[in-house]
Amino acid sequence: MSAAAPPLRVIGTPAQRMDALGKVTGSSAYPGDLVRPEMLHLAVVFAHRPHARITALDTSAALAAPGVVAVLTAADVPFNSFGLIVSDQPVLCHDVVRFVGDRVALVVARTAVEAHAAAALVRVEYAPLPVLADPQAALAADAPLLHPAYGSNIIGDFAIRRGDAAAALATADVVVTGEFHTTWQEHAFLQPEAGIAYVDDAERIVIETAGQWLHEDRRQIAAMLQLPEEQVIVRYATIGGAFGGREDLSLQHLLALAAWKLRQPVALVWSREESFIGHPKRHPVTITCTWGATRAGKIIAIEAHAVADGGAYASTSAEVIKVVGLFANSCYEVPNITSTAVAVYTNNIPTGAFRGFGAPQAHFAAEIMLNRLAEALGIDALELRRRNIYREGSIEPTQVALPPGVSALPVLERCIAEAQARFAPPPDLPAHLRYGVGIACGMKNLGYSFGYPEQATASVELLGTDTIERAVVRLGAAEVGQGNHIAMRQIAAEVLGLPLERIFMIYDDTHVAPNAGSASASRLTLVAGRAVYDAAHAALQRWHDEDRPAHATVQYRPPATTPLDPVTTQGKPNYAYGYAAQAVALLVNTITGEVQVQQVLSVHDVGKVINPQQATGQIEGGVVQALGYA
Amino acid sequence: MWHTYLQPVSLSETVSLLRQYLGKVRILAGGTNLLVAMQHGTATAKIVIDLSRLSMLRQIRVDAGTLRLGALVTPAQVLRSELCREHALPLVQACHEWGGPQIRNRATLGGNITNASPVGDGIPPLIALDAQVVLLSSSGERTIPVADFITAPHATLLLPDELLTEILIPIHATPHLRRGMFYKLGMRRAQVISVVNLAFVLTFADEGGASTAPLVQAARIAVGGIAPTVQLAEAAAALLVGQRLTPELGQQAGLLVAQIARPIDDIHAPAAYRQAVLAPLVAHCLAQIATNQHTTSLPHVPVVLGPAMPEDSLEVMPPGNLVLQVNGQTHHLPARALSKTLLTLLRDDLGLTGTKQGCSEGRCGACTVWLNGQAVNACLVAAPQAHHARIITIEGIAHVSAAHAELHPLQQAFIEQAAAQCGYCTPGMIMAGARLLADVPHPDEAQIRRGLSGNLCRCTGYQKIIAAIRAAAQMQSPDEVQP
Repeated sequence: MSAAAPPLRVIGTPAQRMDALGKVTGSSAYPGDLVRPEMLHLAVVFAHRPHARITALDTSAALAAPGVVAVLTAADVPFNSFGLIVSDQPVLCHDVVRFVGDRVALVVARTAVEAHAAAALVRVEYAPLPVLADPQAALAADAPLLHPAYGSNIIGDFAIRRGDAAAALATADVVVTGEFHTTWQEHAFLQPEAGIAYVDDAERIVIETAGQWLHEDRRQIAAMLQLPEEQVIVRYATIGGAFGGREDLSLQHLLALAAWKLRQPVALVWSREESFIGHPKRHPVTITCTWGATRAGKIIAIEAHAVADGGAYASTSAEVIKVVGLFANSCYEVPNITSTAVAVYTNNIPTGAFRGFGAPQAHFAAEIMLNRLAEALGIDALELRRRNIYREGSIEPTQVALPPGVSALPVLERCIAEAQARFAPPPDLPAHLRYGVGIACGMKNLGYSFGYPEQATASVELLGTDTIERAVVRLGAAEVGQGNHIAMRQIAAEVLGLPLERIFMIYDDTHVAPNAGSASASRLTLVAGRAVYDAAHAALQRWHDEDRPAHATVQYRPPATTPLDPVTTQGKPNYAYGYAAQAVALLVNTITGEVQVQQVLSVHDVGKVINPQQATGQIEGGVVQALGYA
Repeated sequence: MWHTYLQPVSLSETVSLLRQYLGKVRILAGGTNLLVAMQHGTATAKIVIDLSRLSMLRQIRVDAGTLRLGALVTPAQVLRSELCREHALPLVQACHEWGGPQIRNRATLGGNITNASPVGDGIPPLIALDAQVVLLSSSGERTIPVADFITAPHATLLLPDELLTEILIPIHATPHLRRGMFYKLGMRRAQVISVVNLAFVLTFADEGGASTAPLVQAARIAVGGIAPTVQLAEAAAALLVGQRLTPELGQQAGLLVAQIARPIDDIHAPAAYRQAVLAPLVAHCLAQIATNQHTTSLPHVPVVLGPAMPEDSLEVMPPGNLVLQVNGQTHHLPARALSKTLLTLLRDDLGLTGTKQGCSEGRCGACTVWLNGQAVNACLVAAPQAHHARIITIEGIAHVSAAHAELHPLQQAFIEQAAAQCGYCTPGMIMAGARLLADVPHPDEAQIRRGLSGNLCRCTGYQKIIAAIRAAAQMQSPDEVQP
């Protein structure tokens, strides 16, 4: 920022969120709180088996059960497939079920108890099919195809080649190899999926629920019902956490289907068990890799191969696998890399987006490989990191320079210094407890990658006569708990010179708020924040030009990314990265193997912080969620 | 749920109901097992006998050289009982590790024994303490050692017409020469099913000295999680008797305990882990006992969220006439409310949706409310159990603190400390935290963590929630609180 710029007034302050009062008093309405007495209730008939052919489906007993209004099956679905990237998942299965959570029928009844009782009466006969329990089985030459139309069980694959890794490994002084397995992770957002839907007086289907991207939910629901998007309204209630687990449709489309078919308001509130099988998980990944270095401690080559269990349907697997492949080298510059990755259909629960989106699995393997390399070289692991870590101008595996602002080294140095100052083993430790400290580094992209269309649209309206009395910010961005809306409000207040309480946000409805993209990929503060910033400036200009009430809508498009060249694998994967380093002090119980974390020190380059209290809240929450994963 | 809900007020009425509905009823005590199973669909009970009005089964007393615990005694009561601390220390330690604070306010010792889980935390200490159960039927009373009472996983000698009324623990003449210890190994530090749990009761002939280990006179070792039922490690105990409890002796005893293990793989741990950890863990515990370090994990005044035993008399519900007092208002509920949990009743019938449903099994704490002053999981309270109880929900918490008509200090602190992100756990967190602050006005970090250990948050990493509790403690002075 230039010396002439005025000091920031609102940005950088711990402004309180406007949703806090409702949340601490219990008055905030989450999707499950929207149920009203007159509504019909839904119950989903799940497959509860990994792979089978439906040989008979008899709904008569369920239809005859007390309170039952309808039982919907595949025949009732206008366009019976959906998905975030490819539409490969049936709304209601009619021929084959491919995982335990496949939906087979939808019972509509007067009460939830009646709906669930009748769901147990829907008689489905299945003929078992061979179960592909893991990616290796699915990749076998004679494996049955889960989606025969695709001709393969591969959901997506990815390859990067920089230099000649095989040749470089042959010349390396030290070579280490490793194989790493990660398992599924469940988001376990505290609020299980729920929602209501109804048809309004203008013949529009309205779904009030939770999600991470209003307009994408609308797109998929409109496609399923074969309606124009304008006839579908998705409105988000207060959202009880997401972490990637609400990117896919889970029950929103089922609500829409039932309300549209029956022309009556419907409600569906899932139990924790239904939630567990109802949304995708973090990918289990197997990474095999070989790292080579010179005696002097220069990493010269990496070969890495990752296989991810994508589960029964594609979800975002094809994009996640790219991130797994891209971060095979963590945040170290390596001149020769071959990194390949593949996501595979299996009969497991689908896997998709989860905080980090493939980066945690890749870093887990890479950071341990670096430690092994350090041990083999006899070089301190922190020193080996220092020697190889990305610096300004470093070249990514995709053969382009990193976007400017490469802070990996200062972040690491700060982490080391803080750990030295703050960590100390507990005094008088019993013999069976051993104390240890570990440090690792990492990076993560902000925003969508590899040429995926990236934009956010915001509109700002300034109202008043002589002075600006209030501003209305329209931005279709999901507040999943992360504090995005207070950040957007702070940005608008800063630009407009208004107090926070005179900024009004309209953000929760596809019909009135423009598309800001998803609440994912660490992108909203950066991309939607810039859209709000630009729209506020444009509106302010119009106000000064006496074009009142002043209104401006701005679509912000960040610097373009590109897919990789299929031959050279060159390309610009991302336009921005965040860098982090973490130190963990822990005790290991040598009798039981229990690990007790004592301290975690997490150092992040977050750029200019909009709201420090919310930013630290995100980091603290992310760290503890990651501890659960570890 | 059920279609017939019976709420007897006397033991004789209860046993006559058991006889009348022989084998067709389920007994509902604390509800922390039965209501979970029913909501999961793994148990059905068309007729339920609710014991909540049998207040005579909530007593802890000493009579004729025996510590007598009523079947409805809760872990929270045990935690706060001086009698239990003096005569049944391993049981107190087990209760400290049992579930979370809300579960400890509702679960019962009788329920834990009759549920007969291979890893029920109440069972190893009772077996190590040589406890007996009293079984009452209309034809009389019989007494059986706990070790014999449990015959297989979730199977006991309880006959369909019998009620477990009391647990009897023999009192030792020289308590200072008796040392007990409970050790729980679980995959997390709170709210977790045990992988292995161990209880030891050792009586010494002398206390040993600086260089001499104490001399063992008698020993009982009970181990859960290694066989279909909790095992009494008799050979290991016999080895100890008459010998000084040296580390080497402890290791030998550990090997003998490991010999009786027949563990299985389950979702909590693989069999091989259970087997491998057993011998060194036994040796470790015996070393702790030998050096008098076996009580270090138990605080002097354990955190209990609310009074250990509600003082209010529990009024008996006239048939089909459920009355709730919620946030100071009286509600007369229709008959259909009888078959609900308190959570669904609050949300669906009273429109109090601030109390959240997160798991319906008492693990997440999002449905925490105050029931007669105790923090409980509303998902694990049958609505008729709350008849005429004083219930405070998040919608009524502000008024608990007289000086803050708008917000409770903890609500204010949650806002200021940014302790709510998605906010779905927040009402439950505040109900648990406000209860903690009412009981412990200035809790230390260990007490805060303990008090909130029955509540899960996935957003915040808990740091700002702990900060909010601290800030609220600063904000409020104890005399403003009317628990």
